[in-house]
Amino acid sequence: MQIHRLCARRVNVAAHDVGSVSVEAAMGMLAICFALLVAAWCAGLLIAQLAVGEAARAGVRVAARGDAAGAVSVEVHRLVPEADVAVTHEGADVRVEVSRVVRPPGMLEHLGDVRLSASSYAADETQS
Amino acid sequence: MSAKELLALARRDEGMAIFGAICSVLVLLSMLLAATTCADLLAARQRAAAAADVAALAAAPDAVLSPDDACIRAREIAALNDARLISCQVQNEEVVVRAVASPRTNWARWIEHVVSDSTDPSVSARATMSESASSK
Repeated sequence: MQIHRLCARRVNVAAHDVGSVSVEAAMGMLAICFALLVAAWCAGLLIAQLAVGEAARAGVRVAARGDAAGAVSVEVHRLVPEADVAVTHEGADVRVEVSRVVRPPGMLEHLGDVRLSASSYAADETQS
Repeated sequence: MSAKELLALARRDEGMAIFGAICSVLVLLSMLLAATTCADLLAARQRAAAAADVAALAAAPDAVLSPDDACIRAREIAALNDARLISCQVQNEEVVVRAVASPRTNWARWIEHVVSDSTDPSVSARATMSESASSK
């Protein structure tokens, strides 16, 4: 008789647990979705950083030839349209710095803006 | 099915979903680490290629009169572009340089070290005075 009561109580406890796995799964899915979103955004940042570096290198080749800053800007913007470009002459060298601000999308917005930048040097061929 | 079996079943499932979610997040993070490493290795190779390119162009004007100065100039330009010149040769007015750039993360550097026997991370470039002049 006592064993039957004990079993009944345990069945009730088990009945309270019904759906707990679903709740856990839902919470787990939320965590996975958030991690996926962060991972996708980070992958996008990596690609954007590679593009910024490539734009700086392309720009410095144009600057090294002695072309005007406008031509350098056109070349950089061809690869990264939203980029800021700075061309500086340092002695016999020329330096091109390309930077771009990336704003996180949607719910990642509170992470704040990320500034990607790259610079590249070349010998100023007009001085050689 | 008896009550004990039901209870055992319910207890066996406890935490399984969280465990699965943690495993999934770990897999995602591993994939992100792999992507970061690949991007770092790719960026290092791009940096080496660009550094070799501009270093060869910078050295070309000095190649005829002073080959030593040409290589020094090439090394300076390569260093400014976060790369290192591992060879510089001047032959018949032509400068041939080979540059290598280190990845920025320790993990990518370790991967590069492990696969260094099968892959060559260095990049070469060549330039002559006429090429240098023609690129103006």
